[in-house]
Amino acid sequence: MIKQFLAVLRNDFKAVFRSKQYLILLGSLLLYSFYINFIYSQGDIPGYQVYVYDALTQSGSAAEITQVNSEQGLYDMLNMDREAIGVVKSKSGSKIIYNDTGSPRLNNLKYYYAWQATGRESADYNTQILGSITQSEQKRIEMTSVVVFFEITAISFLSIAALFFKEKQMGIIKVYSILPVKKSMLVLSKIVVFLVLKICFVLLMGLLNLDIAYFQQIVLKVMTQILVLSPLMVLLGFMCSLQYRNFKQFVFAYTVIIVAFTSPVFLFVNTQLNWRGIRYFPTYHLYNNLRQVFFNRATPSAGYYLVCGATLIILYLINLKMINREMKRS
Amino acid sequence: MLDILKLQLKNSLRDKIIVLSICLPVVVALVLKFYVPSVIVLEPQLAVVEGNLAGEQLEQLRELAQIEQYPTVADLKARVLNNTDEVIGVVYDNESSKYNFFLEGNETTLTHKLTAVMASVLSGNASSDPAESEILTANHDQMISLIIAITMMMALYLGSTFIIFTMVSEKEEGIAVLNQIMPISPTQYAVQKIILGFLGTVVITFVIGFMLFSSGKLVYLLPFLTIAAAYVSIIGLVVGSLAPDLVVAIITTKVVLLVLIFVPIIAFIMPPNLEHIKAFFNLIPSYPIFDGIIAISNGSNLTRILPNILIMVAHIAAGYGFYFAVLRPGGRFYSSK
Repeated sequence: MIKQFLAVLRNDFKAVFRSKQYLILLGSLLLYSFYINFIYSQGDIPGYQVYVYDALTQSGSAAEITQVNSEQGLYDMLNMDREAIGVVKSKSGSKIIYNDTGSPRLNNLKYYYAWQATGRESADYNTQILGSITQSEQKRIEMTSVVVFFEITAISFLSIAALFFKEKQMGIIKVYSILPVKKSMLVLSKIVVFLVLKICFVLLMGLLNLDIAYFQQIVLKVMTQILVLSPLMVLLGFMCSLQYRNFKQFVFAYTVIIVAFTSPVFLFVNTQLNWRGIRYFPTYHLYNNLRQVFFNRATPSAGYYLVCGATLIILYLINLKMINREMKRS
Repeated sequence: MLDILKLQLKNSLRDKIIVLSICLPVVVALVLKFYVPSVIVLEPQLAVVEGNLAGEQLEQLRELAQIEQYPTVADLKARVLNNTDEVIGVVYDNESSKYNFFLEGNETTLTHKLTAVMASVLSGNASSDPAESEILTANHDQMISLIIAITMMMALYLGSTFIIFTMVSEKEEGIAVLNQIMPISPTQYAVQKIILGFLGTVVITFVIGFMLFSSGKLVYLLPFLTIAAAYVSIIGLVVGSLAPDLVVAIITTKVVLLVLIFVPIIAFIMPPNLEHIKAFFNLIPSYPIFDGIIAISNGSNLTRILPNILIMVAHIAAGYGFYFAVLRPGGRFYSSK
């Protein structure tokens, strides 16, 4: 029994290595890490640039203020840098000019921003930092969680289908249907193969992009989530590839899944945009829990694991049924 | 020519799933047309403790930011620590008679500076010495432009995928071998392969354009989309010629998806201080298309989108040259079974 399973497993590993999928995985890993380390984590938003045209004195001032030579020059700068604010000082008083932001509140803030930047004394106030994560660390963790989720949901899905259609093409499914191999083994071995690949991927992602000491704290919790996510996606991908006749159909169905279920989740979880409807997306809960774990926050409730477990079992049973049907057909 | 087109069209329409997926961008565009607010703006958010700030100050703050009220300081701190957004907590301390601002520690420089501005307004500094203000009308629908551009990119992506898979399935079925023997020139062959995908992409993107763009912008948009459709068709032709079988095609499709949809978004959300890096994105197919659509949607004129068009034409020429040199049927890298 175990020997048989190991043989199936070895065969699947070989198939993955032959199709060079691990190379694609490594390539994307390097690309993602490069992006996170050198571009995304550096993305601070500086304050608004303030351009001043002073008709009375042409004196220099603070660093964030740029003096311009004419009123027209100031309007030109505002047309180029839409976020910037212009200040014109003349005998009759000063005038603050800016592009409409679309929000009266932001407009008011811009007005006061320019007002304060041009030499007013700022108020005396205290700030207190509550969190322990700096901006750069926050961005690293955030993007790492996005990449891991994207890789596991979107890419696992494609990889499993690629593997399956290749097997179908090579006639392996036909061979299995005459051999006395348990059908459950075929499904289980796929799950194990992709789980191993994804665990390696997550470990490397964490080591390359996160602080090592921090990664040690969260690694076990993250792995628990991967143990839920990866099999879920493999089962779904397997089901879809059994469902569709050829790969062309599969790819188009896949695009719908990516566009409709994955992209909105990233948008609404990681930005200030709010939309209640997002809670009805199953992917929202999966991603949100992974993200919480990456930020070392509350771990998901028992109810969440219960639902995931039930879904896994149902998907597994559907897969068994479908693979039996497929074998009968071939 | 017309016969070939008719035959291909008949073949493709038979596959219902493909027809449905190709209509997806149009459905997204319809939803956008009716359900999205005309402006999406992210305003600063403040958290205050009920009864802590005087009514007058609360009114002042309401003119600067969205206000959420919490019963205790502990609740307020918990809200600030929720790290998907940048909520700042404000509490007035009676003992020191100062305002305390609670930050999470990962805020941008801009948020820190806006905090200082709000503190000034609260302390009453701002009411002295007022200045006149002039608000220039500007297009501020950045988020809307982004969503429209992504919808367009999706339609273009489906167009190139359609060509890739038509070519690869021909290889799988053995028709490709026939093509090598038939007496047609490489250009004729290329046109035959991409004509349906190209026309389909043009139709779908035009429909989306008519739905989401005002009529004044269509003058620039329609020619632009035609060139963009030719561009993605060439991408489809190159990938379709390169891929020997479905498995390779799948893997390249992943790359095409990433390149066409995610790379431009990365460029879009890049902070303004990295502006010079954006020039390099023009090397990647898709960025000139994306940038051009955003520019047209923001109401730019011809001089703004002309560089994008030229870069696209250069890419098309390079792609076609590459195809003609090595990828054409019988060429060195043309792979078939």
